[in-house]
Amino acid sequence: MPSAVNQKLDHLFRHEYGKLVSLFTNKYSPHLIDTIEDAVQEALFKAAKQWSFQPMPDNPSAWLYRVVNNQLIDYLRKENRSVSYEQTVTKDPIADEKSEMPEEKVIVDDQLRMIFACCHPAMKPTEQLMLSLKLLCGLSVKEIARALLKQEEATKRAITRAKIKFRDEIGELKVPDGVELEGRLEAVLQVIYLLFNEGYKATEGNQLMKQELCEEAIRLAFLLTNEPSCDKGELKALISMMLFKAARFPARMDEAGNLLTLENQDRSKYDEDHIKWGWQFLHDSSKFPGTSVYQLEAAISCYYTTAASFEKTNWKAILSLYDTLVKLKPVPVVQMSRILVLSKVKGAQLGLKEMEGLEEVIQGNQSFLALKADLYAETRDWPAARVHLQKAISQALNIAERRFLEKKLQSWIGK
Amino acid sequence: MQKYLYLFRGGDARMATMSPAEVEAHMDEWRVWMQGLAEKGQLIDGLPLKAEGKQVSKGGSVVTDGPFAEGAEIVGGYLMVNATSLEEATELSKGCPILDAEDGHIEVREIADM
Repeated sequence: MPSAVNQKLDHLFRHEYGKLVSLFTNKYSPHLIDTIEDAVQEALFKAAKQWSFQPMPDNPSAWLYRVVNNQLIDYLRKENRSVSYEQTVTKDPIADEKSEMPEEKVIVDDQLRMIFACCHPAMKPTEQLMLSLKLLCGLSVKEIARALLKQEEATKRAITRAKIKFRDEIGELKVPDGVELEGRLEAVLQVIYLLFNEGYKATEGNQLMKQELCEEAIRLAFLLTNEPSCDKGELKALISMMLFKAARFPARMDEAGNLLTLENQDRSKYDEDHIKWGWQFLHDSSKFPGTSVYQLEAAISCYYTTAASFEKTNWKAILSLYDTLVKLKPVPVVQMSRILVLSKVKGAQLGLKEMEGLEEVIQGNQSFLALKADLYAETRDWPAARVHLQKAISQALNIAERRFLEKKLQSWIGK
Repeated sequence: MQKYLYLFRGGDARMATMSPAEVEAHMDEWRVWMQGLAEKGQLIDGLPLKAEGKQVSKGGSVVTDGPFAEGAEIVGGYLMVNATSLEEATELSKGCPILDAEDGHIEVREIADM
């Protein structure tokens, strides 16, 4: 029975938090963000107290909405500042409104406007990311710090800074249009992409928590599909990429909690629904003109995830995708991934040679050293392989990766 | 079987620092504990109490706002259970999640059978 209880409540509060904050920020004003957050938090406490003793109401969301609404109205009356806010406030809200939970369409639209507000250009990308996690995904400062592997105090300061900008710069919440939309949508997709990658990358910390970040990224992306001006090729490709990667989640860890790389994953555990929808979104994205970075990444993830086995991966196809991607997005992680694939197709010698070109830019980086070690191992230059692997181990940032690299080093000793 | 009353005090301070997910997890613990009591047929009734209230005294001539006590001293909720003895009722109360909070405590009282 306890498990049934847990199932019913799965993420309820976290999701309600983001939903309610969005609804009331739209209804009142971004100026009131702190008050709104407090009111939502307070309503969750009240609910937790009451629902500890009693069964939950049939519609817990509506109950929470009413409690938050009443609390905010009380606050506005006490402050007697209602005149300076939107008309909805100056008209007595209790008198002409039943304070009913708005319909689904409004809930979706309000969250959409909130996504764009959190990605306002006044904020730096990390601030956009943190604010989205705080206001839309309902994570606490502590959880955000943990998820992004940042100091709690620093995270708190960054969020405070971002919220000041949120209060002062946003004005009316809206989905921008025309030329403005393009730039803003790019920022929004970037935040979703970052959010997903933070969850997906193999770092220490609570794996469930990380998986949740990925789920949140997918949820936000799906929200955007409700807005026709956003629902274009790039968004569809981004969703496709996330689905293909998320499909591998069930196979990423062994029972002892060790990370498994692609070649060691049990592919029968990959989530078929994710793959099916990944295909659908990739297909839909190709109906739009132009090739986006997201589309290339989605196609690459697709080849990796859908190969019958690691050995049967279509390296040639992936390499040609990377050749295009590296021109559009010449960043170290793409360059290194390309070299890894290149060495599968044309041999490790050539891979090592190409790495020389990157040496100056990303020297000393852990993944760079580990990749170099792998390539040396493939050419059977074991001493060089071991030296580089040792260097990589000394740079490892987290326990899971260090454990993984050390295990590899042990298997290379004596070769 | 006798009836016993649990009076809950404290535990709220901790909630203020929790994330939505943690609040939810806390609520789950309560629900699991209460469900356990219900399944054994020991749960009679119980509800949380709001902080605001009135104090009535002097034959009803004096009414003040209150309780106005410190957070950990206000009765935040009550529960009535069936148990065979005060000892059993006390043992039973030890599973209550309010005790996870530093300032959370439970007063166990037997309800007099008149």
